[in-house]
Amino acid sequence: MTLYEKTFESNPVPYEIDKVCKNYGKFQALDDVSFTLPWGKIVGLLGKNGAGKSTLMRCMLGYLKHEGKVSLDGMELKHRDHRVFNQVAFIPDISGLDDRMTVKQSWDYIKDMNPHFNNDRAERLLAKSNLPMNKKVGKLSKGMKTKLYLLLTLSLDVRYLLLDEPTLGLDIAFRKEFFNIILGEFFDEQRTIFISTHQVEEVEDILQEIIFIDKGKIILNEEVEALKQRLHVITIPADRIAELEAHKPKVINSTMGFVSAVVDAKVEIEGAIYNRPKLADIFMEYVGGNNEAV
Amino acid sequence: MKQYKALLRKEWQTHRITFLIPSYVVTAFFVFSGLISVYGAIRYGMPDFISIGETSRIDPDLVIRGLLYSMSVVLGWFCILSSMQSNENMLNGDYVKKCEIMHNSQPVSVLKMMAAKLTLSIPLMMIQYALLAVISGVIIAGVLSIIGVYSFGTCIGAVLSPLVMIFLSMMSITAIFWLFSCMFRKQAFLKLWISLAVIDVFRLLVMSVWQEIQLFSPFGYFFRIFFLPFSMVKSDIVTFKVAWQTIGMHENLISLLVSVLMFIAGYFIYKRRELS
Repeated sequence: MTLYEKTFESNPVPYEIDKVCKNYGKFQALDDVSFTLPWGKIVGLLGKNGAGKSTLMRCMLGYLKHEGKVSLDGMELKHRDHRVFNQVAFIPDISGLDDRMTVKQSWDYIKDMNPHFNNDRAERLLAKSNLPMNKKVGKLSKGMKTKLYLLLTLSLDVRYLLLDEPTLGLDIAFRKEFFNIILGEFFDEQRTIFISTHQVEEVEDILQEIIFIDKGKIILNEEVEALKQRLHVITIPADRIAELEAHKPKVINSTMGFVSAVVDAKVEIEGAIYNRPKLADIFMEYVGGNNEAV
Repeated sequence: MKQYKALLRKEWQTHRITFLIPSYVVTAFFVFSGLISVYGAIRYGMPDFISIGETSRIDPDLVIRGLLYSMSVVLGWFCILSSMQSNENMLNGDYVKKCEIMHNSQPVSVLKMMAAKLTLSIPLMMIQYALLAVISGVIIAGVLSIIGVYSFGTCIGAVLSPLVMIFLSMMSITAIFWLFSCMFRKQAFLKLWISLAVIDVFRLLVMSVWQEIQLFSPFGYFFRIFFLPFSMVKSDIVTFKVAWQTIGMHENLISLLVSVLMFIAGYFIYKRRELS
């Protein structure tokens, strides 16, 4: 029995967020947020800009003071509690690396700082990369910085990987490579990836659970497959829009003489085209408004 | 220990330029003096050093002691200034460079991180100061021997005499900057001076209204500890032993205690910071 399995047996709810609230002055960034991060799943966190995604992740990591409880393996985590990093690794939305250090210095730093650094895996990942070891991090391109951060993080033997918009501002080729490396090197049935991203279509096929957050509140937390079976997209000619409106969808999209909306899978309209919904469509149906921020 | 060494190495890699300012100053001083001497010797020939040594009416020991003591104090001030600046850079540099998330995403306590920063600020800075003082003393003793003044012991004694006072001064001043750097992420240096000025103006106002009241002056305290190493000059013979004895003085012990409290307070303030 592996260490993960032993821990799982003793505590089947390892990462628990319970009634977490966070205020910035009068602005409530998180409002009574509760959920548990399951084992061996890839969970997406979707929300508009300013919905509270980054704040939630930072509360989970103990960077921010908050009300409510965050616990890991039954151990309640306090503000700036370094113990969380024995099991969790984090990649923020900004590069976050120290520009003043060289690639080698950064590598050696993490290696010595983090007792969970897996040297064999690190060597293998490094050999595959083309990172210039003696170059200052500040002189690297944005893509190279992200790659370095990713390889450093994936060299850690941790059970949770939290990613906060990790591919923001990167080109499509690198974004694909990023997720391929993560799936290939990190994910297994005992490890969990919790990812917040705007490019939902890129992770749509790998997500197993989804959490929608809006105005600091969790508005949906469900298995992706179950969610997609529960809903479908109905498309009908634009002149029959009233039939669609009868089911009160929050968003109706118009395209080339047709209108479509996400509605309950039980809804049927004669002559309509039915499609499996995309996460972005479902999100818009739940949150409403335009989809620019998704 | 491995983590502590890694933290110390990181602080060295990212802040060595500020840390080494005193070494640059001393190197520049000796290189410049050497070049001037060589230029003078080439242009005007070698001066008659031996006759100067023989005919001088002043006790060379006293002159050497006074000059080297003062030189050592000035060097100490450079170390204190460097320590102050290193403090601010180390405590807030990660925030300014937007990499505090990376450094704070490792399983290492805030206490250990701050201990590494403090190690570079005070003990290692003091070692740098002592080394520079000894090197300077040896170089000057060597130069003096050319003019017939053989005073190796006096030189080394004089440059090392302010060591204790510089340590006290560095501890006290660095502690103030440490506290302010922990309180403010940006422009801690400026905010310290503004705070001291505001408190002092308030103190003067209160004392001008209620003349019987005597209030503590933070500016006065700051300057007293800054000029602490020069207070020893009043002594007829400044020796290492005399200097060491001053550490047990009531005022100095209080300063040390206040400094320790400031370091502890800084730690708790720093730990309460939120990372975004």
